[in-house]
Amino acid sequence: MPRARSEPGWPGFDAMQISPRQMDALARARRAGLLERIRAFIGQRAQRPVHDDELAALCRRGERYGLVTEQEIAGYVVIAWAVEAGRAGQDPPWIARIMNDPHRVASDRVAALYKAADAGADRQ
Amino acid sequence: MSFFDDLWKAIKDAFSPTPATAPVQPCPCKGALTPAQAQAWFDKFKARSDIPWNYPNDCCYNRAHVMAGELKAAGVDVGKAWNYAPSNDKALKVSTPDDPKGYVEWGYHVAPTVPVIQPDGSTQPMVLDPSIAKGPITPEQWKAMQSQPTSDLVLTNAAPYYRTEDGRVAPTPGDAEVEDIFDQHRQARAANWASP
Repeated sequence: MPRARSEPGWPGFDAMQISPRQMDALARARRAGLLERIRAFIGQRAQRPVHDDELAALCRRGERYGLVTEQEIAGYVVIAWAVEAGRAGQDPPWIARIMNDPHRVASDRVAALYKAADAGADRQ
Repeated sequence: MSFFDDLWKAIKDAFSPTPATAPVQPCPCKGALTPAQAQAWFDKFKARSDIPWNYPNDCCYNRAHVMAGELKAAGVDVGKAWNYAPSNDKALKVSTPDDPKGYVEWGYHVAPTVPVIQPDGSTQPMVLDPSIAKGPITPEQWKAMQSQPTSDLVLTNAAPYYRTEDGRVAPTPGDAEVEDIFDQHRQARAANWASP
């Protein structure tokens, strides 16, 4: 009886699989690429130097807040970097309050950061 | 727009809404056509007898609406190209055998666009306009056919049925009204060629 093409052992089957190790490597490459693009985005707009370790720490903090997409993470990191939350080791209360709001999904929390910054929350 | 609105918009433009560490990403060619597929769509529309291709005097907005709807239903990332005459005394002008004068003049013109995959993997918007072209053409080629170098070419998504040059849009009519407009234009086409 002929084997289904998707069956292990079919010629070429193994070559078509992405191993967990390869998936991890791809995810690491994507993470590094995102960090580089955030650094470039901020670098085009900021006066003070941008340090990768500071941005990496903010990216990790953003992920701990449950941020998933590039837009969410970049949105959080840019604001947090601007108020020097990376150097301080923790977010200012107005950012922490928004990012820990259990009634908002991640994308709405990041959008709320920008609304709050616009309303002057960062200066209170 | 405030500074922070602009900043958030710039972030959304620069970064993807997909998971940051996902090892796979949506294909950038999603919703795009190969050159052969674009030509096949063009030919399919051109062969439609219910669409009055031979009435270039009017109807472009209705034709664009119907084509865009069918392309969208097939999963194509369809848009529209709009070309606006620079002024009332500088109308767009296209030579055509489908008008007794041998040409038509317009204040504006619209046709659907489709993304077409290029050899390097990028996509290029191409205009599908069987009323004046023989196949898919670039928006710049399409604009050049309308003989006004200073006309205003604007690319939008497929949504506007009618769009003014300053961006205002008119409500989209229902299917019955769209058919009525085609009927009116088929009759106008017949009147165009009626003996005096």
